[in-house]
Amino acid sequence: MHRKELLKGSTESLLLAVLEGGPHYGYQLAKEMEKRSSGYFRFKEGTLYPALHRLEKANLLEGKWETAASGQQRRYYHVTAQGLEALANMMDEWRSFSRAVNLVIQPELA
Amino acid sequence: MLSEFELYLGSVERRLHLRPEQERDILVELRDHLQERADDYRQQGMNPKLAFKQAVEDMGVPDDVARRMYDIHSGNSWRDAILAATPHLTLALLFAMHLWTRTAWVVVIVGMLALVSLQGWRRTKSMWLYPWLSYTLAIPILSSLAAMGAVAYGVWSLVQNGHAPLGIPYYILFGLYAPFALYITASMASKVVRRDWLLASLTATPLPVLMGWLLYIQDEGRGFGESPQQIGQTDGSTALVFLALAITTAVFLRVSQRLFRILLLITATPILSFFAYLTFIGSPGLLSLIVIIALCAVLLLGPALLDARASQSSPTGPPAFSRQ
Repeated sequence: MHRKELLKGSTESLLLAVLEGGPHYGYQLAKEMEKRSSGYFRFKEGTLYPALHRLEKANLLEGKWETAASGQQRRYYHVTAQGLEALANMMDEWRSFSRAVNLVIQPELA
Repeated sequence: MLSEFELYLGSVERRLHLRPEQERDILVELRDHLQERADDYRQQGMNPKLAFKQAVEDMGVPDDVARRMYDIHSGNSWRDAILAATPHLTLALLFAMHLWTRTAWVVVIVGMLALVSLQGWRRTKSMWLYPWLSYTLAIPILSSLAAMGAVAYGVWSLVQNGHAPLGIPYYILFGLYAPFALYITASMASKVVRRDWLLASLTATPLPVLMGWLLYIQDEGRGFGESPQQIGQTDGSTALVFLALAITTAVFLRVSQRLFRILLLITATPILSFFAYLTFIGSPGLLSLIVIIALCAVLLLGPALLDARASQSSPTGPPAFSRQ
């Protein structure tokens, strides 16, 4: 339950963070997320596409139909300049948040 | 037999209610994802049937996926909202400036409404189009009702007095015109319902007001070019009703939550219709109130029932889409 809630609040930053490394299509993105988090982040996939489309509507991503090596047309998502800026802000916020949480739950490390 | 994928994508498609090209892109994306997920499961040793089933389960409930996509994609810009409100604003202006008594103005405005509707229907099926379609469809609906009324009155006169007010060829013409006009309307309405029943309800929104106004004109024995001072008595209030319809329409387009849109139409249409009838016939009794509510219910919820019936009659139709 906690994991689901945490993922819900971080979906957009996680998607932008993966896409910062290069364009991905939906399934590739889901797999990459699973791989990078060692299986910790597994999207209910029906929420992945609405999240991607929401980011696209907000001009943080741009979706383009491109032909893959297999000849299949796929929708690749690219981060826009606005998306990179938003990601930088989200990362700053995340670092501050995670530092503050650690200070509270592990005061001995402060 | 249809595959798990086709059933799933068919369910999503029926609930998306977006423009055809938007729906196609979303469904292609989901289908490819499902296919790849199922292929992965198969490579991990899962049997093919179970792999398809698991891929569909991973995607989540089709209603939720479609609702999320609808909420994201069905919002409209201010430009579209203003464009959608324009026909109601035009009618408001027509009444506010008492221009509806001038035939030339009416012809120009009706022509403009029909032209924009026709071009809009051919080029785009964007949401702004449907309020324009309201008035274009109102022409065959109201004229066929008038034709049927004339025929009924003619028959009644013939039986009662032995002669009809008009010549028989006119009644034959009216009798042929009414079903033809209703057929055209029904065919168009069915296409709108197939696109989205809620847009059909939006299209029907001004009809109770227009019908009330025409009944008022007929009841008072007034017509174009007759005593404009008397006719203009209700024009201010009628203009306000059309202005309120314009605001309702703009809000409908700007919000993207489907439930809010449904509630908006269900609330605003009976209130505005009631206000219009209050203007036209004074204080309506309980019977008039029931008739107004029933008329609004039929016009607003009828499309939803038609859509539900259409879904039941073809619940497992596979979606037809491809980008290749």
